[in-house]
Amino acid sequence: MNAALTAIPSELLYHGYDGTAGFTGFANEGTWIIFAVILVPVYIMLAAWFLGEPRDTKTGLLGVSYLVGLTTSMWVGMFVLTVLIGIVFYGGPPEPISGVGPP
Amino acid sequence: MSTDDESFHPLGDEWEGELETMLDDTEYDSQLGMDMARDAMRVTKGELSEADFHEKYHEDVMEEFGEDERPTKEAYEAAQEEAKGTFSRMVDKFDGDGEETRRETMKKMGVGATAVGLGAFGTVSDGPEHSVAEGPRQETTEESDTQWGMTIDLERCDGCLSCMTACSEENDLDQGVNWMYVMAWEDDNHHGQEGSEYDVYTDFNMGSDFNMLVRPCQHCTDAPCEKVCPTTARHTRDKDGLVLTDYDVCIGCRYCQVACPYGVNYFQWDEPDTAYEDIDGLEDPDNPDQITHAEYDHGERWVDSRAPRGTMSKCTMCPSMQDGKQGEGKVGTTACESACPPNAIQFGNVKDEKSDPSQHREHPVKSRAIVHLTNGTESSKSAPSADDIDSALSEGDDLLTAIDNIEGLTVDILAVMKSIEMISEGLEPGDDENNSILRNEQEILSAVEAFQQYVDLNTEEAYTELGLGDGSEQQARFRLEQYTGDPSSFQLLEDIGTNPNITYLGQQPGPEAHQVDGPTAYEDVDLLDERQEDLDEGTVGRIDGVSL
Amino acid sequence: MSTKEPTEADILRPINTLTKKYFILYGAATLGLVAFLVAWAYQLQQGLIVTGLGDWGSGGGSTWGLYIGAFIWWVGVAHGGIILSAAVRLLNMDRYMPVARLAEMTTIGGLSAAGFYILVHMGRPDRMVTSVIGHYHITVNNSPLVWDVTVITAYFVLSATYLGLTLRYDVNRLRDDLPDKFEPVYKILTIGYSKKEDKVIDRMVWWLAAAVIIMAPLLLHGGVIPWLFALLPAMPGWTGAIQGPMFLSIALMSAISGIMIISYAFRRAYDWDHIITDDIFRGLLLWLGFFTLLFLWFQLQTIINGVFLGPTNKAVAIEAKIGHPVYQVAMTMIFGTLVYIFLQGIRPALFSKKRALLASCIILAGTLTEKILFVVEGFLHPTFDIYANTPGTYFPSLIEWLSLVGTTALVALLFLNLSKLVPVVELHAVEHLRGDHAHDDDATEPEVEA
Repeated sequence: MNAALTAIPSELLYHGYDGTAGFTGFANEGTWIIFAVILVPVYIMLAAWFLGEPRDTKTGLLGVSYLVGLTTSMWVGMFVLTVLIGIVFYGGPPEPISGVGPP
Repeated sequence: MSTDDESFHPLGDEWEGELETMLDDTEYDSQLGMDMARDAMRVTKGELSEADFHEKYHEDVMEEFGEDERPTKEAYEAAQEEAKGTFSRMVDKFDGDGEETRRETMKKMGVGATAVGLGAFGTVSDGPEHSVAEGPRQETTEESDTQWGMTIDLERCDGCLSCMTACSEENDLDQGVNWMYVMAWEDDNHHGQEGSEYDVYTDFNMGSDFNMLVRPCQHCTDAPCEKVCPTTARHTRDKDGLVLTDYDVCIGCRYCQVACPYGVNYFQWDEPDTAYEDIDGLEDPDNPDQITHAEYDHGERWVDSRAPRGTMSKCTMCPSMQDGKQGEGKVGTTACESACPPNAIQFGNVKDEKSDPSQHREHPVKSRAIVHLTNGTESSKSAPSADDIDSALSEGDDLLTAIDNIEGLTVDILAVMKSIEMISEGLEPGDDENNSILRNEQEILSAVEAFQQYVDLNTEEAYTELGLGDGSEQQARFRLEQYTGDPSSFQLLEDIGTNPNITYLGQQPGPEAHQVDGPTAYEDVDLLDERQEDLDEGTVGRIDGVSL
Repeated sequence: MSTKEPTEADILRPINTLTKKYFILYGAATLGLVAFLVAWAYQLQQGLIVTGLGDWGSGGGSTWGLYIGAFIWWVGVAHGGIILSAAVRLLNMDRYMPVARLAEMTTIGGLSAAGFYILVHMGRPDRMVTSVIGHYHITVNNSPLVWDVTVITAYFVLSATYLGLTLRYDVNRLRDDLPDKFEPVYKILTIGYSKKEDKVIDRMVWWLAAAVIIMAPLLLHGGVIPWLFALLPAMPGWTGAIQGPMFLSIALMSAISGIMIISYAFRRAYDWDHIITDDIFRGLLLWLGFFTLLFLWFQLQTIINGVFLGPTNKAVAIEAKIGHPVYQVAMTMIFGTLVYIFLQGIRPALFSKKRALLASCIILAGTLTEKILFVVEGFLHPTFDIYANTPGTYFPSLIEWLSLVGTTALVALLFLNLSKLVPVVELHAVEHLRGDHAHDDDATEPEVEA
């Protein structure tokens, strides 16, 4: 099951590497720590936003759009900034935008 | 006897005759044996498939022995399953060969083919009853036939630092980037120069004043550096267990350096001294890419030689050599192993019992003796070859005269060679990698055999002369231990749980061991020990002598 | 003591005034930030050799130093936001309502500074997104650094959402008094707003605060951040279960101190004695004392465990730690501050805002020092300390010192800009002080108004 789960992403996402079975990659301590412990309060919060009184689905979705929008703009912004840093200081954008090997 | 004109055996009619005689001495059907041996030759030559061979003699073997566990059984069963139709087609093809074709195609083949035929008789059904050894406690479950690693004989290391220099040149490293690192150390149980009570033996450094530690990357099976890497830049190559750094992915966070218990990582704090196009290793390839990129299932990645600015580097165990990019002869070797004059470093596939590190680890006494007698570079004792012996001896020589006649041979050397022969299991080196210990063992065995053509060493007088007591295996072992010592083995920081793939022979540094000056000063061979001296020059606003 | 009533005008004062002092402060902060950006550009070009860092082991250096120490410190300061919001919304400590938004902004500022430090300390920051996010599906399962990135992103986004959601009420009510030139921003902030949503938003942010109070202290600063160190088996100065509680106590100390300083600055700048009252500082000071006591208690646990009998590697590390003069000075400062807080607790006359401010500054200096020392000491006394060049040497370079200036300037600029855009004190706080609201003060979700 692990192999199947990681096979698809390893093709889609560069560079085709898939971790060392039992040691890195799905599933390991981090899987449980992040998705079954640390993010649980967030799951509960999201559930509460859409259940219980007083609630308004539209406002709930507004809240979710804040979460998604902020996360996306944060990382897209970071992406642009870092690619720029690569071009200016390291001879080119990072792999996989550029090729394998030195610039 | 074969009805064909030519003998099927590569060593000719006479040899074939002798084998048949041997078969006659057994209680089994000689004709069946000879027939099978002949066809076994054809299998090795590719003229006959394993499945066909198995099937051809299956009934006869069952009748003769009551079981048929020949190595060809698997192929036979697989072929059976594939398709009945195609199988009968295969059989028809075989039948169509005819006697004439068989005669024509008989050619000389290796001794191995005979072994296959004869081996069929020797195969006693062992059955999978041997207990599977419970391996070490390990998180990694990835399986592979190959795991590169080393056995390093610390008591053979004389601190010459050649390995450090070779590594630095092979990988075009900056000063102070000591992927390979050799140090002398002391602690309460292991004294150094002053107060040493050992005699200094000239052959081995068992009596050396220095306790050495040779510290490349341990290429751990459960490498903490790999586990903590946030990008998979630090990873284990599945096919051979090498822990490598992808220079295109590494973000330079240095967490691997933080997590490594052994301190083997060296960060590229500034632009490396050697420009990429000037990377030339030890052999100066046409294109640096040859020695900087290594092969993966998903393509080539830049993981070898010095790192670019801002990324992490460490000993790679020379993947460009293991991938065959520096020639077939270098597969199964590393720059440091090749450079080590006393052959203290043995690199190879630690999962293969025939490899150098496995032999050295499992049979340290025998391996030490073999290495020392066949080293050529540093040793004062050298084993003569079978040819040397053949040309120097004649029939009727007595033991001491024979020894005298062979240049460089002494009673001691012969005793050690004979002891090796007595305890040897005769394991062949195979032909995949540089299994030099087993290969050299074969040389020594041949030499002893050659010697015994002229002088019988299996006599009481010979044993006495050679100091082999009653000629038992145990006595042979003692004799060897007198020569080489009997080292203990250890791994570094075993209780941390990294499962390193380097085994050390010799003295283990205790928890309070500390480095001391070794026999060779780093600066004397143009190496830099404390890299901080170099890095401090680049620090902006540095205040000398102030430190947290 | 003031008998003045808080008004809307009070909290709009920062937005509607522009003083010389503001310009000077803005100029200084900009200078500080630019100076560091220039230094960072130099580091990007030359490599990290410009810092005082180096390879540990045979190299004789320390591979992590001020950058990582300061990163942890800023995340600690950032915890002020959730502490205050949780106190107000979940635990009904209305006293602190006036400083809640300032605290939330401190979170945004602190996490921005921390994120900046991550970028600065990397050898190849250009690969931050492609390498980390590109392999997230693998590395989130095993790498504590990726857990760190995940939780910090979550904390930042949750805090910014909290800020965004609670600002809607303020911006809507105060729209007419806000400057026209920022109208596009206000439009976006109040997109889809209707008065009906107030109760719903109130409940949503209650749950938000509840989620963050569990996540941030227990699982970020008392979780993934200490785990970066505590889970590594070969650095005895770092290993151990105590690191979780230890880091958390430091975070809370830094958080309270940060809030006190920023609150004091705003109170002074805008004559907010009657809004950010002395009460608040007294209360915060006592909380600071409590967390400081906890911290020193955890240090005691660490020390006695190390020095009593070993094992050898731990004994070496802890003995070196307590013998270090910088450690001794930092702990003395912190302990002295605790003594003062205790004394003024039993003798209120000893309290003064200036002294509270001083206490905060000392605590911040002490926690920053402790954190940098903690990071470096892991490499000075590892289990495998056989190397002659271990312990190595490390002292921050000019560029690393400038990073402290630069990130502080960044946070200052954030406040300087935000305070001109939106009210930094919640309208709810003003209404509450005036006794305007008919709302319940229960800790539970607010009922629907009749």
